[in-house]
Amino acid sequence: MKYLLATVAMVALLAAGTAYFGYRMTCNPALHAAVANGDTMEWLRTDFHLTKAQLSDIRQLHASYAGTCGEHCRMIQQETLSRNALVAAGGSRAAIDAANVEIQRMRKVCEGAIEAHVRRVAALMSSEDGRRYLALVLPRIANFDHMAAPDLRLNKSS
Amino acid sequence: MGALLHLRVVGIPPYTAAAEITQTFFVGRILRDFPVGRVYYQYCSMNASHDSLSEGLRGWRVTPPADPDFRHRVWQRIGKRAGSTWTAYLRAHATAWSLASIIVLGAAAYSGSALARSQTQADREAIVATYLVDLDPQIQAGLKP
Repeated sequence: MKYLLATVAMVALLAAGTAYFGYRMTCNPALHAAVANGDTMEWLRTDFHLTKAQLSDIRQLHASYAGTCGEHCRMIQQETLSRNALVAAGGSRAAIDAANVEIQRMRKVCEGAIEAHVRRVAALMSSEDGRRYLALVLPRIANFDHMAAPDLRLNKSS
Repeated sequence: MGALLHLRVVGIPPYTAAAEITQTFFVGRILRDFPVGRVYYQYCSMNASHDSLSEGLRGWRVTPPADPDFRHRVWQRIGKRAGSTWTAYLRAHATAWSLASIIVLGAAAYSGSALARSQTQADREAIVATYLVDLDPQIQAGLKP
């Protein structure tokens, strides 16, 4: 009986070691560290195998896009506030519908601009990494919302 | 010459192999101080008349009674010995434990790997969200009109 228990303990110990080994071999500590630090550039660098030159180009691309994005979002937010004011003031149905159409158009413009931007970013990566990057990012762009103005930490501004 | 020098006393009752050897050796010990006698002494020492002993052994027959429980007791002893040390226990159950180990270790490796993949996936989801917020600070989920 004691040998049975000893063997069970030995197999359990080996199993624990094997599980840990399997975990260590599969996990991505660099990605985990990037997530823990909220460092998106580090994530891009490690997850998409970027060289220093590629990372630098992507940084520049992001910096240049920030202004465009800010302008789009400002316009969407302004148009939304106008529409809301119109609704609150009991404006005509036609005017409210026109405001909604304009908001939708601006949203499309914004989303189109973001999509074009991420495609430019993907073009700076290797073809395989670029495909993977687009597969991760593009589906989420379709879910963008521009109704609120959160800060960088996703806290809604009042 | 052999017959001449062979001074064994044969036929003195009671005749035994031990007595024959003793008598031969007694004479031999006297003669061993002479060159020819030394050869004879050594000859006799090697062939110290085991004839009767050999004959006795040749005629010896052992007929033990059959033990019907013999085989069972042998296996019982083997079984006891198999569990006497951990190595012996493992050797006795090698097939079962090998199979169990392969299954358990395989499952453990897969589980560890699956846990890591799941964690990596969760990490990636989280960092993509952060990345898109960085890209477009106006993103706010769940507030579509």
